[in-house]
Amino acid sequence: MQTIDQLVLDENNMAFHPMMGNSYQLNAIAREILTLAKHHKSKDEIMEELLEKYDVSKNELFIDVSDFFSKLKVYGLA
Amino acid sequence: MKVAVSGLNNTDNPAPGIPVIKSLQEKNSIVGFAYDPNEPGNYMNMCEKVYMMPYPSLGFEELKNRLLYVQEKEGLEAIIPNLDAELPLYIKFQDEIEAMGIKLCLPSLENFELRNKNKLDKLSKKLNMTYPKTYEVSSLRELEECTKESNFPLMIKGNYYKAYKAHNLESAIESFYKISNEWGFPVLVQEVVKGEELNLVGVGDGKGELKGAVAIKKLTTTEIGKIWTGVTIQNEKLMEIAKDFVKDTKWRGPFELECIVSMNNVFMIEINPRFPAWVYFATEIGVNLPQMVVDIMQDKDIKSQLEYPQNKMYVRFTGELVTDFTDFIKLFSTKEL
Amino acid sequence: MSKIKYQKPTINKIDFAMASKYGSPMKTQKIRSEIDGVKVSDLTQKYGSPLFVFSQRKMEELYHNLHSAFSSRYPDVTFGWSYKTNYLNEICKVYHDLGSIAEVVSEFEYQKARALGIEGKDIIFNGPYKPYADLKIAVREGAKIHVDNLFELDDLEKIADELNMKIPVAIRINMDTGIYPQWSRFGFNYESGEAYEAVKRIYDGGKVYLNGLHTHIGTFMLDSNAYKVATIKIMQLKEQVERDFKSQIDYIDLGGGFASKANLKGVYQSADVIVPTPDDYAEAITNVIYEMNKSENLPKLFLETGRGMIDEAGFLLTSVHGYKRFPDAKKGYILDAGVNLLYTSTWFNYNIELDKRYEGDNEASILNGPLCMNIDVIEESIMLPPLNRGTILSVSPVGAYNYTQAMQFIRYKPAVVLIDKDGQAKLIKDVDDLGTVNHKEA
Repeated sequence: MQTIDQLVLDENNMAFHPMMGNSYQLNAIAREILTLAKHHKSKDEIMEELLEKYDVSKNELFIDVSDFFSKLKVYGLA
Repeated sequence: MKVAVSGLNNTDNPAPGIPVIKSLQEKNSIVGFAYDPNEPGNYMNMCEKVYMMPYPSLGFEELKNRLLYVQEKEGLEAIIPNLDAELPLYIKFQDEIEAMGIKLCLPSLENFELRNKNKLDKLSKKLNMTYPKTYEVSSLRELEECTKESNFPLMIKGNYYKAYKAHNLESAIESFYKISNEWGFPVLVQEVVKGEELNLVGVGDGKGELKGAVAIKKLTTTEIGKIWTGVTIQNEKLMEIAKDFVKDTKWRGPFELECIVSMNNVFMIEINPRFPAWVYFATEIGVNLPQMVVDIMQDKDIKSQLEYPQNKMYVRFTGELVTDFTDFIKLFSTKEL
Repeated sequence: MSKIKYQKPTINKIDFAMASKYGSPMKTQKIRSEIDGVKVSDLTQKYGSPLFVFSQRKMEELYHNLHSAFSSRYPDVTFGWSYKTNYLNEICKVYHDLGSIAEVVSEFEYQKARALGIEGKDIIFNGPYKPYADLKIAVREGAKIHVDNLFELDDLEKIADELNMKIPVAIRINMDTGIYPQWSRFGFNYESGEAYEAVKRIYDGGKVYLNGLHTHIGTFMLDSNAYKVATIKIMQLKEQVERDFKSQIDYIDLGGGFASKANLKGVYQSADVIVPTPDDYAEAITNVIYEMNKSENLPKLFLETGRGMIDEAGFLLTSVHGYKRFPDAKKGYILDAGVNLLYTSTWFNYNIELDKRYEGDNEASILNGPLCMNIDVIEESIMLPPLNRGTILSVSPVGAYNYTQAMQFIRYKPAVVLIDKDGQAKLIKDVDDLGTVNHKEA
């Protein structure tokens, strides 16, 4: 999770990676996930928190969060 | 007037937008229309506001929705579109755009089609010009045939845009594919004519009068063929042709004539229905063509201006600026700046 | 505690050269929640997904636009509904009710038209392959036979003997109209003199006679001028034939090929800009007839437009079955319809609309069909917000050719619904099942 630690998140839901010069566009919940990840929460812990807070089924959330993390991997962020 | 101007690219492949804005900014307020957050004009502080626009390939519905949005926020009064790719859309739908309360100064669809290179032949005759021998080809077989009749080098051209010089059959075939893939058929094969390449930028009032014009010769061009240095010229014959062209077609709005001129002949090579990227040259020497276009839009009575000083030289250079990355991000994410 | 409305998380790396790769970042969500007042979700719920949907209103509007463009300029115009474009019975009926006769290119299509109650005299029988037995039936029933080759002419002369009659025929002509590719495989060539030779051969034989000339210069013609050229050549040939053989050509048939507002792949400008209007086509054709007609009577004019009258009236509703993340970061959607139903995806970029507004940023996505085949891709790269399982996409225009060319491959052919002028949806073809497929098998 080291790369995620370096991401700078701003109020426009943009993430900037100062070491590499890459920028990422997020939505609010993506920003929330990244914030939790920066606090060293595991994927399971993050899902648990989101499930508590949002109106979504466990199955749908599982697919979406897994998908989100696969994309982070593709981007070299996770 | 509040005028929107497109074509804000200002790199070594410059679009006409920034030169047009420089010509207009004294008397008008400017809104920029960008297609890419990377366009330098977005950050040159010459526009009150910059809006990202939908690609012309998405069709009129998308353009209309965006214009309605911008119109509501800005109270736009006019648009000067400057890019080849967007002109077909703006010209075809000019009545609809004018109905939104936005003024345009563009040629009719009929005149726009006239510059279709396979129609330039007829027009050239009308204007007492010569049109270089040109073949329309739609297949490789036809391409090969005409290279037997005419000698290399030959120009391989799209019907509206793009032209490549070919010195042998292989390069002709390569250009043929390049052009037909992008612009379709027919592809034109044209004999190369000898003479000086001269360019003229002008504005027609839509009633048959040439309101302003400046002719130049490009002295040097950059590696990608854009003007680097140029000089004003006085060529009676070229000026007469421009006058006849506007009179004959009742051309409305800006145009650029690309001609090859020899002692006895003027060959018409191309007509562009927009300002060239060097239009600020004309403004600097006292012929402000973009402002004329804005005046014509307002039906102002303007006197024509066909005189300009000789021996003026144009030099293009590159500049640089530093801005906040957050501006780029803002334009990228909110589509306006 | 009530929970917060959920939105799927999205992250998109900003590609500084994105514009050129994925199309406009300005592209807005296109939404279609209903077709002629009927909700797409109601349609798929009731009739299943995927589902072809046709709008009768739009079909009639397209017909009237094109027909009035011609009939306002020319006194005697007849449209022949091109069966191959879409030969669903209820679709054909709509065009027949509007006044179209039938244009068929096989014995199967001929039988279909007859089964719909169309008389032989109201059927144009085209095509390079007309089996002898079926050709004979068509002759007996008085169909308009458009001869494609000399072998067919031999057949017709034999039929003339058998039926003891002189058969009126038209011949199909191919020609250079400046269009690429030139369709030279149908009929007789004009420029080489082959067409004239064929006419001479007809009169030498003395068993059939010529009363019509037909050409069909291509498909999706974006240059109305090509029709002008075609009409000039047809009228020249007509004059020549009437003079040299003391005959009278009753009709000319200029085929079809009018473009719809579909976006061709590889063409930058939108259909808005490049597709000619019905008036452009009509003017190109009718002006030439008036200018060049040397006979006492104007010839009857037949047209066989298919695509231009139906393409924009057809939609394919398809649902998201699932999605996954690809190694290039694209999101890959699995839909329940693929290239098995969208044959024209090879040439056209469809208009793809969502059933409602979706929150979230657009991301580069790929739309894959349900087939276990790597080529089953409808859109290689499209910017879409995160969609749900069950999201219904409307794919259009797909009215022309897609149903007739849809394959029963891997999955069953889907159902088809027609929404009538009163906005009532009715099933005009049920979804196939094992019985349909196994019907003729051992």
